Amino acid sequence: MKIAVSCKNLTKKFDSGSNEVIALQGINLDVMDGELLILAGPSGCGKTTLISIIAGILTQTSGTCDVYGQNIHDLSPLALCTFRSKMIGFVFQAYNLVPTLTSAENVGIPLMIQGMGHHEATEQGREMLKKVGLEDRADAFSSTLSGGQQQRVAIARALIHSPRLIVCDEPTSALDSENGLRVMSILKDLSMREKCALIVVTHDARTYSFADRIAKMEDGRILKIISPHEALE
Amino acid sequence: MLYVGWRMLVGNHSKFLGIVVGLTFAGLIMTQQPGVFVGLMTRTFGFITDVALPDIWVMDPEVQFIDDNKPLPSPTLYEVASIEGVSWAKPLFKGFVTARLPGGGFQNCNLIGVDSTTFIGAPAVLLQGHINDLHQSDSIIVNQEGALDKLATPPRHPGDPKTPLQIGQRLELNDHRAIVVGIAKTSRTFQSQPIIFTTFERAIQFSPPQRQTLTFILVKAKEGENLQTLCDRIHRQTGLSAYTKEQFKDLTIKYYLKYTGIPINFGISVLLGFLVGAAIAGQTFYNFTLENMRYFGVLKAMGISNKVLLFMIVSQALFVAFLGYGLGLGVTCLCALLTQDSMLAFRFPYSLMLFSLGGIFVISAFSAILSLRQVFKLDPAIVFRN
Ligand SMILES: Nc1ncnc2c1ncn2[C@@H]1O[C@H](COP(=O)(O)OP(=O)(O)O)[C@@H](O)[C@H]1O
Ligand SMILES: [Mg+2]
Repeated sequence: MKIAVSCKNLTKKFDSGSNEVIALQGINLDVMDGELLILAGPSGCGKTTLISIIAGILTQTSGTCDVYGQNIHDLSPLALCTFRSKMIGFVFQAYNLVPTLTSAENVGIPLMIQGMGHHEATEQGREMLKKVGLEDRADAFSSTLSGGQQQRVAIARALIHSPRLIVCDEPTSALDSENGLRVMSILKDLSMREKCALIVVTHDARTYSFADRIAKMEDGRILKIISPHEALE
Repeated sequence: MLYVGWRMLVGNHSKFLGIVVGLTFAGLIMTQQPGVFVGLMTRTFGFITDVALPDIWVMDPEVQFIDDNKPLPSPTLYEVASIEGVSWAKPLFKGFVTARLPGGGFQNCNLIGVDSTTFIGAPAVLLQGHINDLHQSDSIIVNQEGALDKLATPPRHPGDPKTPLQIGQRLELNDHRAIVVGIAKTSRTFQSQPIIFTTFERAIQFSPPQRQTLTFILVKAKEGENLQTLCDRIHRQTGLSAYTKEQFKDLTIKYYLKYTGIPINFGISVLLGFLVGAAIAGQTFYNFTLENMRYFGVLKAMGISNKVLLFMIVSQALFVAFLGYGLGLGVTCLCALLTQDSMLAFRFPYSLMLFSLGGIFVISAFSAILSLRQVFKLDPAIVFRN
């Protein structure tokens, strides 16, 4: 199996004025192509920091991070932008849909960023919404959708440009358990179909069963990597 | 992506309305106030504008503006007329006279005496009467504003409208009988006194005895004659000042700018209005960007390039700036239309439009740069923070 993400001795320090915060201290982690990896751990242990570095929106203090063989932090800023726009899909806890756009338009944004015209991108967005079961809300403004629906739109947006890696930061923590499970199963389904790697940050134990592996973090370190089976015991 | 930018801008109707109203207000005070200022300045030389035919005004070297009456000796008229390149030269009397009104009151008026054969210097538009009626004895023409207001007969009962001065009515000018034969439309002047037109000779009778009576010599150049060269020639041969119409307007404006303080004070408030308008416009747009920071962050995380962000924000700024300017200009024009025949001074020449358009352009560029600065330095990693 191909390695999608490979982190070696990754550290990250934040200088917030006088006190220095060490968010990551020596992360070694491989994520496989087609794998769903869950990052779990108490709040403040560095999960968000880790996926931000992997997704190329934050620079590490030391160590390396390769995504599909590319050391992304070697790239020029513009090349890194292009890399992200092609290779990475994002799902956020707060959905982050543009409220003045319709669902289909929101889903089409990654294609527009790659240069596609908005008519065509919106049409493709409409198609993509079918896959998350929201074709009937394609022309609704995102502010009129429920939380679960908004997160499904966000998943469609994260997948529309066929990225190789999808990063999700607590995608279910703003949802009730029924919607949370539905969102997780759609995520799992689509990523398996697309054969992309999926990293999901969560501290919702009910979602563990969707994972291939679960990395338990604490204090900026990965304590252990376990199977969902072990995690649920 | 320009489409996304456009929808971000107009998508929230109430916020968009807020931006547009703010910018319309900015556009309004950036065009209306300077328009009033220019209008007021135009009034200072209203009389020069009205006297359309001559190319050159000849006057005493001491004269500093149009209402500065320093008469010349009469023979200078013939001296000027005989100068090479002069097609004709006509006398103009300009002075003041106290009029006794039909109702008994007194009113200070401007008195203009024009050449009695050609009527050069007389008003071009008569609302009532005919210019040739000035041939009748004791005849005068008054301007409309004067006839309607300061020369009108006061009402018998307070609160009733005044009775305008009419053709056939008599005034007493310095104990001389004068009969109104026409009502003229004239440009408003700065001093806004009634204007009485009559012939040169009669004007001298009407005014108090004075040694010299020739206030201005109005000159028409021969065809193909360079006006500046002719002015220089007149000055050299007679020692008098000779200005083209535009130069005389400039001289008059400069006098008012320098000595009255009115334009300066008003000009400062216009400038402040302009700056306030600019600040509102810039602030409104900048706020819009700040409110959308989260979405700009999401777009940046998704890999939008700075170049595309630049296009998005600049086009947003230009769009709202010119929309607001257009609407503000529209409101200004509407105001101008509604107050067309009133006391309000308002002029909106093309140059002023270009000037305020330039102003708007600078403001929108400035607020776009401020916004871009924030967006460029925005860390895309904020998208994972709540
Ligand atoms: N931009 C930042 N500046 C300073 N400290 C930060 C910043 N981002 C995160 N941290 C700190 O780094 C640590 C890890 O944060 P984070 O990765 O968000 O944890 P998690 O997502 O697991 O809750 C925390 O102590 C947090 O306060
Ligand atoms: Mg977090």
